[in-house]
Amino acid sequence: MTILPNQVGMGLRAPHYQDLLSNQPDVSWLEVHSENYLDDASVQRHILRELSQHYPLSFHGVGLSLGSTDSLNLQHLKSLKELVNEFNPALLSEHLSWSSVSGRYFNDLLPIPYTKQSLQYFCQQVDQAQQFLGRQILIENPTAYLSYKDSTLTEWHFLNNLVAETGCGLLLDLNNIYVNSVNHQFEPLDYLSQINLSAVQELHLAGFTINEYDEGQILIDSHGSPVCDEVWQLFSWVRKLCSAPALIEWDSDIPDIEVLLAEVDKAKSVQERTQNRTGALENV
Amino acid sequence: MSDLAQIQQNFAQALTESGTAPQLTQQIEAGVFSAEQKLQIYRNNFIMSLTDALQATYPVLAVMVGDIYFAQLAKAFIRQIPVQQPCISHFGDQLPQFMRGLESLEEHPYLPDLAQLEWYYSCQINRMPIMSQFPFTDFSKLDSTAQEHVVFTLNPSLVLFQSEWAVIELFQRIKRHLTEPEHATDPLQGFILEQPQCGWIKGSAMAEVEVQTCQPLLFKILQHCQQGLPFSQFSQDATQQGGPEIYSVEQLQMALQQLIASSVITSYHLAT
Repeated sequence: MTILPNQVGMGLRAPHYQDLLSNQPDVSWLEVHSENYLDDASVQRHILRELSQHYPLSFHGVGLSLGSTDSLNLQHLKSLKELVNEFNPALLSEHLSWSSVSGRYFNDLLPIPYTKQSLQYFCQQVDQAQQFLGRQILIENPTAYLSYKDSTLTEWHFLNNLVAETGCGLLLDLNNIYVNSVNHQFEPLDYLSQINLSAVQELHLAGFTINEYDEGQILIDSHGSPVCDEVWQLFSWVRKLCSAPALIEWDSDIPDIEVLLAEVDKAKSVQERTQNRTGALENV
Repeated sequence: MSDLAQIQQNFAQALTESGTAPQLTQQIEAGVFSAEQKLQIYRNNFIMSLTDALQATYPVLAVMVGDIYFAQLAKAFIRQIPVQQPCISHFGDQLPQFMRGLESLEEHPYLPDLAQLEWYYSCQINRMPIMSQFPFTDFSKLDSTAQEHVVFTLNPSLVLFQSEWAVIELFQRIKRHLTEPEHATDPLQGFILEQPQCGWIKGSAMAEVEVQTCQPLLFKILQHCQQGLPFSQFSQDATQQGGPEIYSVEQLQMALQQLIASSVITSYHLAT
């Protein structure tokens, strides 16, 4: 099953399995964390088989560690390929980050310096992953709580070059851009006007939390709250130029499914309003 | 080593211990917050995300040791035992062994056994159970010679478990307390820890796991079956291994019926 432009989906999380299986609520597509479904004999894989009969799927990975100087984990790639071959998801994505070194994994999306060396390395890893999997992958812009003095490229330049070199697509997380813009003090619209929106095939919308310190505050990409007004505004801006399907992500303090479905409806309303306004302008 | 590789090595070191990667902090842009403060966010994420994973796998253990000790235990484990897979569904398998080496648990030697039992439970709860009916019709057609060679096979999901302490009952009591909080009585009322127990863990339905104590005779039969030995040898082997009893045919038949009825023994084959 394919995911159509402008369709709004939600992340599949275990507390909502029963609701989705029993009631099949009106949500256009589901995104799953690939690593939770790799075991062929697991309950989770069984449930995914059931749900795949009703919803198009997008697979979102956190384990490939594409930015690591370790070689790609071939066993993990093999398991991922088996999963992808079984479900043929509409979209397949990973992150612009690293999570392992010398075979040790940190279960987190860690930042890479944006240098020519790391771009060259990341391109090789993406090439290898796409060749092994036999399909295009999307790369998501990360949240980063630090930046490196050695970085010579902006994140959007890095991603645009990556697309040009490897033919990969982009997964644009608008919350990550907003969180980074506050933490690193830049204008999110500068980012959005420079990133190659024609390569964007999926959008993420999520919430963050604010950590307060004596020195100031840091936004944390916690995915545990509703999408904030500023991110809805970015979504509205992007929607004028990009029809990639959008996703409501919620990974911590997971609420009842009705809360997520309300966020899905809000996303639909925002894009309808945006499209109506755009249409009105075109008529003039 | 490339610059990127060196950064990642230093980052890894900084995640497991603060103040250990001065080279890295010099490479990080400082602003309102220092490089060390920024690294602390990642250090916290690393410890907290894996602590959450351990908490999800070991809720009964967490109740027994309390939240504060569990957090300390998790932090020590996460720092010392590297995660070696990108997928964390099997993370925590080494926690029981790690606990056996801790001085702080010497006065609670049953806790590593409890953790081991909970690990088996957590593995089973996420796996689809394998349902099979014992082939009674075929079995009834075996002649007496063939019966001498019968090797019973166990439910593939079955894990045998024994401890010097009553950790199976302890697990059952705390688990019930967690899943049925409406029974608000003291879950350990009348509980006697100092008694050996044996039993099994087995998937029984989707997302349902049976954790069951059993009589020593049943456990010995299951161990015998697990070794792939013909059932006809059981009495002889049990006696040779120092078992005090000589089991009657009726006792053995009753035990077998019980194990088949419980779907613990699910099939058989003939030893060649």
